[in-house]
Amino acid sequence: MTGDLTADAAAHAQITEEFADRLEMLEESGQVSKLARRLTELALADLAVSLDLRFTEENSAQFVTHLAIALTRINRGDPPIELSAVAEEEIAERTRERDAVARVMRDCAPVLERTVPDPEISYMTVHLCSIVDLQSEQGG
Amino acid sequence: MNETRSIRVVAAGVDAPTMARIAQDAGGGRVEAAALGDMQGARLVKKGQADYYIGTCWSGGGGALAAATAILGAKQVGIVGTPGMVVTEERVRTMVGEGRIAFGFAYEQTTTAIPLIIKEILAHRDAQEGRAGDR
Repeated sequence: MTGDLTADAAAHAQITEEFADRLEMLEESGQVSKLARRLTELALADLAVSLDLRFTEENSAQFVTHLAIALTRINRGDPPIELSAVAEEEIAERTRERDAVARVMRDCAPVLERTVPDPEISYMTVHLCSIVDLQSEQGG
Repeated sequence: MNETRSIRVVAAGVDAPTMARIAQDAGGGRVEAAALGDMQGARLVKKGQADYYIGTCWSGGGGALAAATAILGAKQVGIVGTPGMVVTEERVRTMVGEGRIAFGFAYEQTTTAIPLIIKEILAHRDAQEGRAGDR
């Protein structure tokens, strides 16, 4: 069901527990679909392992919310969102993070039955970079 | 003599501490603003311990108001700007006038959106108190 997403069991368990309240709230309010929630958890687990990150409610709440809502929107076939020049500038040299997001989104595409557009990948990358930077500042 | 209570604003999202500072500065002593997590901030508004919620995300469309929408309900929230939609005084005034209490916009609009939102909230409060004073 999940394409080629690698779900490291320990990372996946940590993610599902850490963000259970948030994702439950978003799903119950109808803003996030069950499929998008599942993909969000798998994508986060994959990124946690591949980039050696630890996603927590404290450092990643905005990223998790954004990812779940974006995946719901993409799966629904909503019109593409507008690209922000400011956001694009923020990640101009962040090839490693962008490539990681793009790879995970390529794996999500067959499940979503949609290609994930570049602006969506850019916004996800901006969020991811802020977590990478924070973890780096904290010596993690 | 009437003493007016400060308007309590919670700010959540990208660089929430700066958002709170801008809101407080824009309020000219009539606004108390605090930076909080989105779920915590929205719950304070729900419990009546804060009056308004302002939220940002990079795109302005989803994450800015997701928690507020879930906790306060869709009718209480409004997106006032996105990278493709300029924040206008008219839109903010309309949403404040409709009684919405949570506003979302793109991070890059922070410095323009927050003063406008605070201005309209204060004008709305003044109008309400003026009407109350006329009774």
